[in-house]
Amino acid sequence: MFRIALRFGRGGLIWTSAFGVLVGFSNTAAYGPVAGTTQASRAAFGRQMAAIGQQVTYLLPPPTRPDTIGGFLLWRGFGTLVIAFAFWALLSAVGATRGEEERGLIEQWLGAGTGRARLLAVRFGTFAATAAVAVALTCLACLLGGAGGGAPLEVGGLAGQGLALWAVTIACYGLTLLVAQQLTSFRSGAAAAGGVLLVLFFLNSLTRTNPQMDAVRNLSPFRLFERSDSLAPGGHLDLGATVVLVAVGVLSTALAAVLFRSRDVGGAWLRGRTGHREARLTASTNPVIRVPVLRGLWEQRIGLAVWAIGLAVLAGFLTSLVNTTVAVMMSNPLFRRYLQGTADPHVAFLGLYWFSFAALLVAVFTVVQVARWAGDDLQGRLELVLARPVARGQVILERALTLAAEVVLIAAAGALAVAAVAAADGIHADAGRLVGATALLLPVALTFGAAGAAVAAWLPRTATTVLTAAAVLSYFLQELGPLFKWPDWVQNLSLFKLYGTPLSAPVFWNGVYAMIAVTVVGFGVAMLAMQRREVGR
Amino acid sequence: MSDAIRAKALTKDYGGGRGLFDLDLEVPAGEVFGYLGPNGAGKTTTIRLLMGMIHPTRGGAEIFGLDCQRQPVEVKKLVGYLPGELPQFGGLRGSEVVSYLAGLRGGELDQAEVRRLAGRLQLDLRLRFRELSRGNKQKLGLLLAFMHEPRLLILDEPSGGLDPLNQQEFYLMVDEARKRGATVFLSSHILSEVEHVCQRVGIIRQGRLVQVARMEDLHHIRYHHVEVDFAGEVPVEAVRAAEGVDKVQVDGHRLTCSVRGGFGPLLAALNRGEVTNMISHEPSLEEVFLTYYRDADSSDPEPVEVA
Repeated sequence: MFRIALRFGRGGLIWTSAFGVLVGFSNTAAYGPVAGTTQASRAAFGRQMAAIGQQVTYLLPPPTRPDTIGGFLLWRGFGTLVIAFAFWALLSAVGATRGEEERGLIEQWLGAGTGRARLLAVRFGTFAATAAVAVALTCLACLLGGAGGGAPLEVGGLAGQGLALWAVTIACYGLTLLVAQQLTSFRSGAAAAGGVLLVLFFLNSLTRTNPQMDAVRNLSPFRLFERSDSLAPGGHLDLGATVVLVAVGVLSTALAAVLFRSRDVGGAWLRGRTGHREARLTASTNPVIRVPVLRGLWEQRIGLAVWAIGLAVLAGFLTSLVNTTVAVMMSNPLFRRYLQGTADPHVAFLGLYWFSFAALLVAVFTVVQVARWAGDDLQGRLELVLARPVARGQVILERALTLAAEVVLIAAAGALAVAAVAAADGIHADAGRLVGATALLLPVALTFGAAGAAVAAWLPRTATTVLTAAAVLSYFLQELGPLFKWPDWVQNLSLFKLYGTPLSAPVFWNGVYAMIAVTVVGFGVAMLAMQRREVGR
Repeated sequence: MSDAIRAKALTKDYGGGRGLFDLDLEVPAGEVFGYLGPNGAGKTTTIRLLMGMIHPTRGGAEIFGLDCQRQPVEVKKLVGYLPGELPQFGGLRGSEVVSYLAGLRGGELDQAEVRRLAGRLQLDLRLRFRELSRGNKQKLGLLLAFMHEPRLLILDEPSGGLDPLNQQEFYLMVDEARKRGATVFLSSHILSEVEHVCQRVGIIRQGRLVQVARMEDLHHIRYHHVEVDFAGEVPVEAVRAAEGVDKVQVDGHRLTCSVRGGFGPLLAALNRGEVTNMISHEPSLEEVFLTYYRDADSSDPEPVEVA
C-alpha cells in the first residue's frame, strides 16, 4: 500500500519540489545581486521591502529583517512556499480519498483486505514522507542559491523553517482528509476543503494588523507556521506551534478515519434522506448543450464563473495598491529606474503589475483547458465523440474557439474591474490601451493553447506536463532574465515576453505576429496529428 | 443483398503476435452477426478499425460501401456505436449526456425514442453520470447507440453489467432493430448470448478469424459440465454408453461428465439410478474453444466457412 501511495503521489512530489527548488534558488541567488553587497545598500533594500511588504499583508506576512538574506527568504520565499505546499496537500488529500473513490480504487484497496483506518494512515504517512523530501530539496536549493549568490544562509535557521513548512503542509493534508469525508466527488471535495483552507488562510492574513484578533488567528495553521521565524536574525523555531501543527495533521487524519469507517464508500458522512422523485426518461431540452462552442462554455460554467470573479477581484485589489506601491518605488533609486521615462508611472506600473500577472493567470487557465482535452482522450470521451459524424479537425477547431471564448470572458471581467478601480483611484489609464492590453491576452492564451493542442493530439498523457513546464519556464525567464542580464535571445524565448507591456508602451507587434504564427502552426500540427493518430484507451 | 460490413485482409499488427491479422469478412445488410472470441483475441481491435478510431497496418474495411478510413464522417452517420467501456462524464446528468451526444450528430433529437428506450431499460436520466451503477452506465450506452435508429449497430460486449431482465430487454431491442432492417455487429465472449440473438457468428482467436458459421452449425462444439448425485448405485456403464457423453468420472455417489449436443441420451441413462441432485453448467467460451481446438488437435486453424 505504501508503494502504491508513493507511486500515486510522485507527480505532486516532482512538481511541488520543482516549484520549491525554483522559488528557493531564485530568491536566494537573486538576493545578493539585487540587495547589493554593502551594509548600506542592504539596509536601503530592506526598508523598501518592508514598505512593499506592508502593502501585501493580505498575502504574505510582514517582513522581518528583509535586509538580511534569511529575513528576505522568510518573507518572499517561505511566504509563497507555504501557499504552494498547502495547495499540494489539498489536491493530494482529496485525490487520495474522493479522487480514488470516483475511480473505484478505494473499493479495490478495501476489497483486497486493507482496513479503512490503515488506508488513511498509510496515505497520511506517505504524504508526510514525500512532503519531507520536497521540503528538504527546497531547503537544499536555498542553501545552494545563497552560496552561489554570495549571501550564505544559516543552516540551523533554514532547517527550523523547513520543519515548520513540513508541519503546516501535513496539517493541511489532515484537515483536507477530514473535510473530504463529507463530500462525494473530487470536485466538490476540493472546492469545500479549498474553501476551508482559504478561510483559515485569510483568518490569519486579514487579521495581521489587528492585535485583538490574536486569539482567533491562532486557530489558523498558517498563523502557527508564521510563529516560527528561525530564518530571520534573532528568530526561533516555535516548537510548541510546530508540534500543534503535527498534532492537527495526525488528529484530523484519525478523525477522518473514524468518519470513513462509519460512512458508505462513495457517500457522505452525513447524508440526508432524499424524497421520492419521478424518474426522468427524456434528454435535456437545454438548447445550449447542442450548440458547438456554447456547449463547452456551458459544461464549464461554474469553473468559468469562479475564474471570472476571481480574476476580477484580484484585478481590482491589485489595482487598488498601485498608488501606494508606486509612491514607495519612486522613493527607491533601485526601483525608480523601472518607472522613470514613462509618461505616467502609475499606468506603467499597473501594466507591469497587473497585466504581466494576468498573462500568467491566462496561461494557467489554458493549461487547465489542455488538461481537459487530454482527459477527454484518456478517459474515452473523445472516442465517443468521434463515433458521431464529427471530423477530427472539427474537434480541434471547437477546442480552439471554446478556449478563445472563455479567455475573452475572464479577461473582460478582469479588465472591467481594473477600469472601475483605476477610475476610482484617479489612475488615468487610456481606455483604448486598456482594451488593447486585455485583447492581447487572447493571443497569449491561444499560443499556449496551440502548443498544448499539438502535444495533446500527439501524446495526450504528456500534454499537461509539457505545457506546465513551458509556462513555468517562460515565467521564470521573464522574471530572472533582466535580473541576471541574460541575452535578449534567451529572454525572448519566454512566451510572456511576446506579450510586452501594451498598457504603457506601444504594442510589441513582432511579439504579436510571433504569437499568431505559433497559434496557426500549433493548431495546424494538432489537426494533422489528430488525423494520423489512433484514438481509444 | 448488399454488404453492411466488408473487410479485406484487414490487419492491425501491434507486434509480438498481438493485433488482428488478415481479416476477410462480409456481413450482409439486415443480419445480426456475433463476433466471438476470448479476451485479447482481437474483437475490440476489429471494432475500432471499423469505426476508424485506429488505422490498419494493411488491408481495409467498408461499411455500406464507404471506406472506414477515408470516409469516417459519412460512415458514422449510419452507425450506432457502443464502446467496450463507457467514458466518464463526471457530473453531467444522463439527460445532458444524451442531449450533448445527440447534438454532435446534428438534426432533431427524437425525444419519443429516447423516452421509449429509457423506459424499457428503466434508466433514470435525471441521475448524474457518476451516480450511475455499472449496469445503468451500460444501459445509457445502449440508449446512445440505439436512439437514432441507425442502419448499423456496432456493439462491443453490449450485455456486460446488465442484469438478466435487462439482458432479455436488450435481446428484444436487437431483434426489433433486425426487423426494421438494421444490421447488428456485436462482440461477445459469451456463447449463449450470441446464441440468443445472432444468425451467424465469427470466431476469432489470437487475432485470426478461425470460423464463420450459422448458429445451428455451432452445436457440435458446445458442451456442458454435468454433476449428478445419486441416492444409491451410480449407473456408470449406462452413462458411458450414452451418446454425446464424455469424461465420465465417479466419486462415491457422485458422477461427473461432459455432454455435447442434446441432453436426451444422458437423461435416459440417468433414469436407471435414483437421482437426488443434478447440476449442469456451461463452461466459459475460452474453455469451450480450448477443448474444441485441443480435441481438433489444431494449433493454428485455417478459417472455415460453414454457413
